[in-house]
Amino acid sequence: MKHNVKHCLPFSAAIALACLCGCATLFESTVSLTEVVDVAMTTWATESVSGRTTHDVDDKVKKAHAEYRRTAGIALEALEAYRVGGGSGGEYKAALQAARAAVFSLLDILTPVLTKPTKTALEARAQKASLP
Amino acid sequence: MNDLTAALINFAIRFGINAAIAFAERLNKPAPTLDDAIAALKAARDKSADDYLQEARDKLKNV
Repeated sequence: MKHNVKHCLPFSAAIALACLCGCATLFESTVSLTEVVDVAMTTWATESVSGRTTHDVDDKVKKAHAEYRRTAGIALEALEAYRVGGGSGGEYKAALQAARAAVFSLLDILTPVLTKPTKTALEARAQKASLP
Repeated sequence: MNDLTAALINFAIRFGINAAIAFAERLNKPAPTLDDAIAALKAARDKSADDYLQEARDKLKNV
């Protein structure tokens, strides 16, 4: 069978690009995680000010979000240290892993607030933001 | 037709038009840099739940 190189190349390029898109970089993972939280928190706040959440849920969300912010601060310090050459990429990865765990805790608490499709989409995005 | 267009058409045929659109959109968006990641983490660290609530209240007022 004779292969037509001209036709194979574009498809190979597509597969290669698809693989690249599927494998998130460390920075893509970071930005994705923060975007997930931003969408989740914006949704919660809209529901909360409209009186569609309970005080109990609001308190838990605030607590979980404070924990996420704490882990984001640690990740930030590790990334800034990495930038100036004073830290290892490993430290940053560990810090980001902790932030990721905090994101999933927050999403769990937001279960009564988020619609099922929204929660599924956010979890999928956070899951995709796995560390390279 | 350039190679990228051909690749996208092939991709759409094999994986579906929605996957191809998402793929094309992704190609147009530059990959986040170290500075983007730092800015995202700074914003995450500095924005409190009360800030989100205030934004939501402001939005509600403007509707």
